[in-house]
Amino acid sequence: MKKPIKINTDRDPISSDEIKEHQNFKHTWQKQYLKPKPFYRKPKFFGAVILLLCMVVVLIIDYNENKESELNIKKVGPQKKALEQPLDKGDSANIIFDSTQILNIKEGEVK
Amino acid sequence: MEKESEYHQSKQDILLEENQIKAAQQNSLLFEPLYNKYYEKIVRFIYQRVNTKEEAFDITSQVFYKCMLHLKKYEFRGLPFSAWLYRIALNELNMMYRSNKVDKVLNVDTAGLHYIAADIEEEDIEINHTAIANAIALLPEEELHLIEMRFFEKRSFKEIGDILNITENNAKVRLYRCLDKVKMMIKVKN
Repeated sequence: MKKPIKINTDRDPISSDEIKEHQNFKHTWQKQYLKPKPFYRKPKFFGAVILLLCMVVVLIIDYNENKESELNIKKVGPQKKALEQPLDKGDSANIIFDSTQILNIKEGEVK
Repeated sequence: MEKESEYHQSKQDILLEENQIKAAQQNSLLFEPLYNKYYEKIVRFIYQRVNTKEEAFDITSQVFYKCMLHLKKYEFRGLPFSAWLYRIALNELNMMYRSNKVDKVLNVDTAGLHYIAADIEEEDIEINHTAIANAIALLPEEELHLIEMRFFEKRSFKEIGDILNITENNAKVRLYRCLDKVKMMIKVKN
C-alpha cells in the first residue's frame, strides 16, 4: 500500500545564508577522489583472480589428460593380459590381425 | 540577447557553460564554477520534496558526487546543464523514497494551490485548498513531480520537459491530464 505523504503548507523557505554554509566544493571533490578504491579494483584482487583462473585451467587440462590415459589403459588392458598368459600344449588362441584375418596358432593357418 | 528567465540562458551563456563542462571533464577541480552556480538551486529543488534541511543537504551532496562521478559520460546537447542535474536529483530522491531512507513530503503554498484551483474550478463543485493538496498527494510520483514543478516551483513547460526528458507539448498534455485527474478525485470525494 502507498505510504501517505505528509503535506506541509507554506513552509518557511531555506535561507541563502544557510545554503552557503553547507556549500563546500572541496569536500564533495575529496569525497569522490580520496575515497578508498573498492576491493575489486585493487591490483592484488586482480592478481589473485588471474592466478586462480590459471590454476583452474591447469587442473581442468590435467584432469582431462588423466581421464584420456585411463581410457587408453582400459582399452589395451584385457588384450595385453591375454597375450601375457603362456599357452599350454594343445591350447589354441586366435590373434586378430585386422577385422578380416584370424591366425589360429594351433592350426597355423590364417582364416 | 536578453534572458527570458533564469532557466532560459542566452546562447553566450550556454556556450560558456559548454566550455566549463569540457574543462571539468578533463580536470575535475574545474567543476567548481558549475558547482557554485547550481548548488543553491539543487538544494531548493530537493528541499521542496523532503521534510528536513539536513536531508536536503545530504541528498544534494550525493547529487553532486554522482554528477562528478558520471561527468565524463555527459554529452552536451544544447540544453542547460541544470536539466541534467535536476534529473540526477530526481533519481536520487526516488531512490531514497523507495529505500525508505527519506519520507516523501508534499510542500504546497497557498499561491500554487490558488493557481490549481483556478485551473480546475467548476461551478458545480466546491474546491478548497485542503482538498486539492490531499488529491495531489495521492498522485503517482511522476505526476506529482509535474504538478510540483509547474505550480509550486513555477517552472516553464520547456524546463519541465527538459528535466523529465519529454517534449514541451508532452509536458503540457500530461499536466492537464493530471489536473483532470485531480478534479475527478475531488468530485468523487464530494
